[in-house]
Amino acid sequence: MNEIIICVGSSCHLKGSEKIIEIFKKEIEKNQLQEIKISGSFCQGNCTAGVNIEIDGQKIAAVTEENARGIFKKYLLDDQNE
Amino acid sequence: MGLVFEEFYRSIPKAGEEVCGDSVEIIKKGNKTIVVLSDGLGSGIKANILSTLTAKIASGLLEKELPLKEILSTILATLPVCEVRGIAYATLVFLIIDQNQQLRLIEIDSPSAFLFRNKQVQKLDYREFELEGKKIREANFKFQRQDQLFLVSDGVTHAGIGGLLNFGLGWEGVACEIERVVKRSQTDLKNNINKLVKVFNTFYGDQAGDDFTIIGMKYRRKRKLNIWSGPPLKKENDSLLARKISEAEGKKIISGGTTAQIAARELNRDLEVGFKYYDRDIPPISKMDGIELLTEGLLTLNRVLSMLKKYKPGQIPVEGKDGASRFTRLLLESDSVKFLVGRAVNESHQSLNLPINLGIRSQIISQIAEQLRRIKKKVEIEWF
Repeated sequence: MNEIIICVGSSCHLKGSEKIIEIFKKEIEKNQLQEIKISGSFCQGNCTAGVNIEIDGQKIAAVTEENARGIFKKYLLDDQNE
Repeated sequence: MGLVFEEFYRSIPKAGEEVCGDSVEIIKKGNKTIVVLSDGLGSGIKANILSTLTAKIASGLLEKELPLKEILSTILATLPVCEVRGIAYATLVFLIIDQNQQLRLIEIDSPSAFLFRNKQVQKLDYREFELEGKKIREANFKFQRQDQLFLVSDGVTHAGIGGLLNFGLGWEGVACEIERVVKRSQTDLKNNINKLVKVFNTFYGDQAGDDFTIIGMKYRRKRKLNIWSGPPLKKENDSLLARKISEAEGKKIISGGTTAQIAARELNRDLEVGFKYYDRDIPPISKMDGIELLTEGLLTLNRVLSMLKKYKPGQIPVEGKDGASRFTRLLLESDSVKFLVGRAVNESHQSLNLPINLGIRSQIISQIAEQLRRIKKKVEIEWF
């Protein structure tokens, strides 16, 4: 079971967390991943480097619309292929 | 617990028109409420201007508390009169209710009011007299705790005319509909107004043949709302604030992610962070036991402020499921609002190049308070 947590605090929101959520949801659907829990979190105390997310307990900063798919692939898809 | 006089209205323009020819003005002054309804002849912009003029003149004079007879003469003399038809361009109804629940209602060329009392709608006892060549109806009575009063423009009594019904609903027909709707649920006035508007619209086949307005009024208990936004400057006040909000009387809102985290920690309660966007610009709402609403902070507060600025007394509070709409609704449904405001600043917000200034919580809350005072809410702010 993988877990994605995305910060929806004010500044991450302004930096686009809503779009990141959309992208991740789409990727989950597209790749037909069943065992993934995706949820929101409040400020993780790292606003300057937003959008902040967490995948399986690992903190990842500076997620953007552009790199979100790559991050998703790196952390959640390669895992499966092994 | 005290009582408060509440009133809601909706005005629907004739099908195809952009603006409504009916105007409503509601003024709260001390313990007095003044309600004015005017229906401009015809529809569209011309009717809108005429009824607005009439309603504004009337409410302005009434607010100055001149003798009623003087007010009436002035209004009747100033009401624009159609040269061809020789009648006033706009109708007028107004009422004043004071702190002793004594209600005085004056109607000129308008359908009689509907009083819902003891589970049925009845007509008021009127005294008729003539002034400046106009027939005027006046009613004086003590408004009881469970009473509800409805005023309508003639677009309501005419609903269905020439279509579903030959002559429209008429006073009796409207009375019947009001009685049916209000009897079913006597507490939620704004919902009843919404339902009645739907009913009248249906009689018109969803194509209103005339502007129509309905205003509902009743007493209800006063409601309190408590809001905590922002972490305190001194960390040792965290627990004090958490206790204050948790022990406060009335409904509760926490606004701000960090604030919510402090509350969850201090009160030892679970915090369920929301994930659902109803509005792209407003971050999702979260959940915690004992707190009616948990929103994000400054973006939400900014939106709340802009919604309050647009609000006119008596309107039905905004729709919408996003945090800011819910927040605004709770504010509008309350009579006294208490803010607990923490002034700690999120350091990282300061160094960001964000499209809006996030470092101004105290200013935004002061402006929200100002808007609430404008619509006669009691506001108290404690800074920490």
